[in-house]
Amino acid sequence: MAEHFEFAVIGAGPAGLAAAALAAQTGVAAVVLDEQPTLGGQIYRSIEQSPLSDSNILGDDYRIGEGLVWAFRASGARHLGGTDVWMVGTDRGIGLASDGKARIVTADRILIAVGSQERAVPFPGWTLPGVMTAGAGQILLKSAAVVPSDGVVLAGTGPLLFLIAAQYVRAGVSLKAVLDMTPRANYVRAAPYLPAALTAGNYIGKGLSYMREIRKAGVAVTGAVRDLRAVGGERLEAVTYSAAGRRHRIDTGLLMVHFGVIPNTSLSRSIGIDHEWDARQVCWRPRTDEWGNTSVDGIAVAGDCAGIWGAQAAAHAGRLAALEAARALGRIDTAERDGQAAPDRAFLRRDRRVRPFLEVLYSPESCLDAELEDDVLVCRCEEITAGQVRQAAQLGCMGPNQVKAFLRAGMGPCQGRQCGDTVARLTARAGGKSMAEVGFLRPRPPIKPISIETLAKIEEAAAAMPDIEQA
Amino acid sequence: MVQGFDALVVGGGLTGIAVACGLLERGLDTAVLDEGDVAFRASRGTFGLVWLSGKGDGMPHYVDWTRLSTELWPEFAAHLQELTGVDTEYAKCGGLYYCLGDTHFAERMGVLERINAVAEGPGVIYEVWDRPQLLKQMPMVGPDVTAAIYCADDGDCNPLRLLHALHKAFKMRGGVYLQNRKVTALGSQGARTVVTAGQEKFQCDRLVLAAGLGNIQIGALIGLTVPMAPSRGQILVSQRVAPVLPMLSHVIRQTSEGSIMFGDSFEDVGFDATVTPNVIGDIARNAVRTYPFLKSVRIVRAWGCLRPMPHDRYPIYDAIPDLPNAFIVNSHSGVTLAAVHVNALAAKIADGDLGPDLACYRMGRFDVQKIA
Amino acid sequence: MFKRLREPDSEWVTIEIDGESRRVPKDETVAAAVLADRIGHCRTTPVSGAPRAPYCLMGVCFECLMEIDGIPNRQACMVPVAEGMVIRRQNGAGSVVGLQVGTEKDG
Repeated sequence: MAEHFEFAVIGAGPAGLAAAALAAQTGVAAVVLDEQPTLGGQIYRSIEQSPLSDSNILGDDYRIGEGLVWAFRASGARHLGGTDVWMVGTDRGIGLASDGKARIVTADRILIAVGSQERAVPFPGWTLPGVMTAGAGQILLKSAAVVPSDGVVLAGTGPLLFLIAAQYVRAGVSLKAVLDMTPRANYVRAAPYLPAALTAGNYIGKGLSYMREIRKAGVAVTGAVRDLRAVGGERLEAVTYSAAGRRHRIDTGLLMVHFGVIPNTSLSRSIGIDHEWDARQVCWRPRTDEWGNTSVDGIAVAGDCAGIWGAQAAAHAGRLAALEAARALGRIDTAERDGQAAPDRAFLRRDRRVRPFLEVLYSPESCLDAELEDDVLVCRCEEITAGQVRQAAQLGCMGPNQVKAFLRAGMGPCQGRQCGDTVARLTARAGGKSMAEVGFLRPRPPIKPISIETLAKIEEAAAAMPDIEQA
Repeated sequence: MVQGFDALVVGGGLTGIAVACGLLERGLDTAVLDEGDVAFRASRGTFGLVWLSGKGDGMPHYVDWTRLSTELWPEFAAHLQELTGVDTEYAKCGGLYYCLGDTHFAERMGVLERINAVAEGPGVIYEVWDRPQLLKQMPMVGPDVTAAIYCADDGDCNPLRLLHALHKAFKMRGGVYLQNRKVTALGSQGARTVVTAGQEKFQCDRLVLAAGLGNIQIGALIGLTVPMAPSRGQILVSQRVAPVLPMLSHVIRQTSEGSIMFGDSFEDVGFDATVTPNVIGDIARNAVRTYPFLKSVRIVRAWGCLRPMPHDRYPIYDAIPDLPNAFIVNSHSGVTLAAVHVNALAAKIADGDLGPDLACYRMGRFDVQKIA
Repeated sequence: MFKRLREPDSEWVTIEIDGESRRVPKDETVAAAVLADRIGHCRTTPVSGAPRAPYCLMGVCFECLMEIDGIPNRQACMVPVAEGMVIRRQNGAGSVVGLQVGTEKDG
């Protein structure tokens, strides 16, 4: 008989860990599936075994992860690390692969808690070696204590930019410049949301303290930066940009960029779950109710993959999804679910008050509005340029899926994770439509590459599971 | 307001856009009505063969019709590329049909012999390669491959480039492409057919319904039961690898980009395009048996696509009863037949008469056809 | 470009990067080890032959595809290092294991 899980949680970040731990407490057999071998997700990467001898480098927020992992370990929920989830069917069949072996399992309830990814914003030179995301820099720091050796330029917009800058300062990394691309007008637009934001957690205070830390270290922070370019031949040699009415150049071998984060929706879209365009967060996210239930029966989403609300909110959203799972599985009744959920709902109500301020202040629209030059690569995998996408749109491509068919944009190994929204945006502009109207790329299983041999060996598992055939 | 065209084609997939290009070439002012980005879209999910061998078992004319298309293909592809700059990557490279065991071989030979026994034209010209002969050409085949049947007339193309090229050609020649239009009513006014799509009305002297599976729903608007159903095919595609497959087979081919495509199932599951683990497992197992050395190649995408499949697998070309100069065109071989659709079929539709040689493709051949 | 804040100890393993032997911490990913080794780029693209380096380090971008223990197209940011591992830059589409093929397009 093929393996069957009562409650399968995909992702071992804050939402997944909190959900599995609480579900286990209610008597639900919960198992967390994660591609990384260790717990914590990207936000709390390497939390149980940090390679950093100085625990102050990452800061207090990182340590919150210790409590989550501890509670998970104590709950009796299972952890299957190093396990790729390569497909999920609407019948709640789950394709897993680990150690080169694939199998199909089933679950009564599935919670997708796969977090976020950084927003891909193309600019000239962004594919040069030496250009990477700020999140990548942070992962190197957290997971391997690997840091820039000859200085780095940080550029973009969003809270993470200042967090990593502060962490690098603490780690003794030389910051050549922080290029803040937040337009000045955004401060004016965001101001009305500030009073509410101050009543949420101490987010604003922390943000200001990072900036003080950075400035105290003597780092040059430039505001209202525009027209970022990475310059170089075989690799990055310099960064150029506009600020205060003129062009500037900084010689550097390393540029880290950040334009905010968006929900990681590859899995939820590949299943065919309904998604909606969130104009404030400028991203697609699954359509859900308060408990994370989606349009597909028995499959819920929680945490940043359901909308960007941050790590602390993710844990609470995970708990709501766990309580709903426990209710659906008959462990608790609706009244008990609602009673237990009250503190989490109260936390989320308060915590979310910071979001309108952050969403307006760090809106990526100004970076996306910049008219992309025709020769800038949009699809990194298949090397398709903005000009090619515009031409396809002129031929009548009605959305990103037809553009993909015509040009192969989104057909490479990343399956449009990097180019999907940009292709849709260019198509929408050309046709005078909205993002919601042009729609999104439909990723195809396997959402993680899997070898022919591994696929060939799923026979036994599938044969033991006749219901999978109806997927 | 009513928009008027000489010809209106419903469907912007390979079959619709090919017929539309052919009508434009014959001087008809032509528009294509298409749905949105998300529709059945068999043309985006096809394997890409331009294939003759094995087709027409039970329908002798279909062998000739397919052969005609494969003969027209080289000029058709060259002409498209010259006009649009888009290379369809067509190659009449010869194709292999691999036989995994003696039973498999006997079955395939039976099909080819039946076809040739009743062929009016040359039929299928093929060579049987035993294993030693096959190993000279394709030394990488696995031990389970006992023989291969080679047909020099078979080949392949990049079906997405073909779709792109046809759309580009249509636009360059002045065709009108109207997307996000779903046909909601069909009628006539005098000698012209009237097509309603939501709030809009279109009049035309020639109507072609070439909407693939969409023809079922459109036919139902006028009480026409189109004798076809979806047939699901699942296909796997690998990451790009350096060229390793010098020849193509009917289920495994390496594209010019380097990715290897593994096809494709025939499943009668209704309107369900889901990818299923055991079917892609079957495809993977067949791949590993055929080419064991490909075992570590990584699959990056699998998809299920619904073929618009007439009940006997042969095309439907017919006049639509009660509508003036209106035709229905359905085929699941939109790639192979693209060249003949642009040429011979479009010419007949432009003339307003499909003629006696295509009579065997009328819907009347199915007893199930009913006017409600 | 990058450096390690950690000093070598007995927990480190020996791997080979483009033919050169290296001692690296056993909990690192291949991508981290490669970046700390300053090799600049980890692959060239199959389309134009352009050099690329790891971009996101979280399994999303597929820029860090390398040949690891003879198998091409592996995501270096998702694979932990192991004693004796052989890592090579991937040129173009990458060759298929077990078959000698002609020169690669972007070799």
